Amino acid sequence: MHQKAFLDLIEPLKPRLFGFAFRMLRSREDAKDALQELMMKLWNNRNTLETKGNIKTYCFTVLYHDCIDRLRKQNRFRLVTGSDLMEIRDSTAVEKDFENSDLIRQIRVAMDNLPPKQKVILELRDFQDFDYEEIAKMMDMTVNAVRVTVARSRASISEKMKKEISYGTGTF
Amino acid sequence: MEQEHFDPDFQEIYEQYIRTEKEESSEIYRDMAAEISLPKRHIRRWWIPAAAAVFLMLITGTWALTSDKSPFRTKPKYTQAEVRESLQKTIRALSIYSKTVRKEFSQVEDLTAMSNAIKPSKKIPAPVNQKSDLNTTKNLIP
Repeated sequence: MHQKAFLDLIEPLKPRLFGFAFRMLRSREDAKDALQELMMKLWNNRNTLETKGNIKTYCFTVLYHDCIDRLRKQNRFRLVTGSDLMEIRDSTAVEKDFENSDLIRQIRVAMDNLPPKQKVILELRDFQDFDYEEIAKMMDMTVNAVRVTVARSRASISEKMKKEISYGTGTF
Repeated sequence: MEQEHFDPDFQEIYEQYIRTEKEESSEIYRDMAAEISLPKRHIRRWWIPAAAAVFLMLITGTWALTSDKSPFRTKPKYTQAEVRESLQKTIRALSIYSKTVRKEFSQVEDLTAMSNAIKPSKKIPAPVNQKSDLNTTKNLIP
């Protein structure tokens, strides 16, 4: 595969892949490194890339495994606190004049505190718009198990939201 | 976006959350998009190790073929001009030496001549033996 064909294939996926890595790792540098590594892997396997089937699915699967490895190495399977997220928010300064910023922050905390597999599945479903079948293939699960995981993750998030609101910390 | 099974109370805020997250990551990606172009760099830089290897081989090869300490040296130790000059010097020295030798020899010949002159060519007559003369009867006075 020529360089141009390779880049034509991969370039459109890069922003989404970066978003996935960033939300998984919660560090722009780590996300950048993960994406660079993925690009290298893809480039080195460029001749067999077309035989891998769906390139998008393949890229997300490789990146998912890399992110999990990175989190394991950094021992970052930990609870994310509200203050951690405040730092992220302040540094990126995206959330300006946002009415529901507190609630969004709470969702983020709830999302980041999900078990990694649940978080990945929800990310793939809600952020990356993958089918249940595709997610099942990527995660090596049954379609039903994926459906259950997605429903459970969403329920878990809304449960935490309700708790927050009942404690009077939310603004909803 | 389909959000089946999500609590309808939080449906809207959840969608907002997803939009916010996507915007945030897009913004960060835009900032560092130029830095994530590894294959291009990889392609552009593949020749660097090859060029370094060729350069090293050239240096090593030059050393091996020209250095005095190299066992693979093929270049002559002296140039033709150096050899010619050295030979000319040797010939000049030899001719000077041969002249000296000839001169020496000529002196030696003179000496030989002198020694020949000194050396008697005939036998020096032996001195008359008085005793034998006495014993002979020829010299007896009659």
